Amino acid sequence: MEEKKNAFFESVKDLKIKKYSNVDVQYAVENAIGKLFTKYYGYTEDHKHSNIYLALGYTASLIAGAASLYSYLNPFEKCKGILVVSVSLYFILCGIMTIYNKYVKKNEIFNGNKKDEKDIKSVTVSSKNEKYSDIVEITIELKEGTKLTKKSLKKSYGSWFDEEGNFVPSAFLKDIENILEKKQ
Amino acid sequence: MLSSLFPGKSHREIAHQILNIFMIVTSAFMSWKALSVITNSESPIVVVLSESMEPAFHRGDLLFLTLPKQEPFVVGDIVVYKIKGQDIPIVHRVLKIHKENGEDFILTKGDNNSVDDRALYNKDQLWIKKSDIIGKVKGFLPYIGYVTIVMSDYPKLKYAVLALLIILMFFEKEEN
Repeated sequence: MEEKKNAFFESVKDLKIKKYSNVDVQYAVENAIGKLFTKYYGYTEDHKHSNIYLALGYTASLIAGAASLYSYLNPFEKCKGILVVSVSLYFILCGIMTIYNKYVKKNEIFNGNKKDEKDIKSVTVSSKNEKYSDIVEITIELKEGTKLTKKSLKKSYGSWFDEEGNFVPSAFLKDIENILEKKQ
Repeated sequence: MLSSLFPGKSHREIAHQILNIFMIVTSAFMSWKALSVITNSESPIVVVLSESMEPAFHRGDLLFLTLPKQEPFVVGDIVVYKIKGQDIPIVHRVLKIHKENGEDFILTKGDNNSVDDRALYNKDQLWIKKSDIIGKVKGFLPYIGYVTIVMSDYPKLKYAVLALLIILMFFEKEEN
């Protein structure tokens, strides 16, 4: 357990934020949760949301690139058909990406699973942070076989970063361990 | 090599950052192409480059064009056209039209010019055709296009703005 703790601490040692920048905080929390659940709790990360976003995004970019090349080499009259098709495909893909992010991914920042004896445990961590607020709400959903548990933690991120903006992994680990152990 | 531009980030994170840049560039480009397809004009927004249409249009005005498929050309329409073999779009008014074998033959002239455009057309060319026309002027915004004129007259300014943007980008990175 001790070496797993050290592995986690080591992986986040350069994590630093610009104070008061909520964007930085969200990114840091996402990073820390990822490292925590993989290195300390031993989950394997499921990159499904990232894979779909990258697949859709690069396909859309490819379509845009091909359309730009074709319209550069051919006069407008000839291009019109291809342009209609590629522009429509592009915006449809962008629409799908937006809908996916808003309704499927929502606030999830980590998806992972691990094999524990004969059961497969899976975890989904979501994070919410209102604009201009220092309160971060972290929700952890654990699924063991058919058992579903949901734990959440609402705290100011000031407790996880020091005066200079350096991430303090020991404080973060303590808070997460506490709510995971808490019997509801 | 790529890792040095993106310090401390995993390959997946780098892929996401590059994709973000791509999405910004491609969405701007595809929006322009969408506008082009909707207006049926290869260049739906152009800048007036000369004084040949004063007092209606001045250098630096932004023009909005469309080319509706079934709408015929009428004497008095202001059109933007390109002469075959030349890149520069010309904004002038339709002076004469006649039909031959179902095709429109059009003569144009700038309001502020004393002669018609035959002096500009190619050698032995007396008329322009619909295929030469990029679009009809449907609306305009004064002065807005002047930025592009200044940029092309003083190319050094273009590089200065670009250099400024790159410097700003680096300063933002260093603070992180």
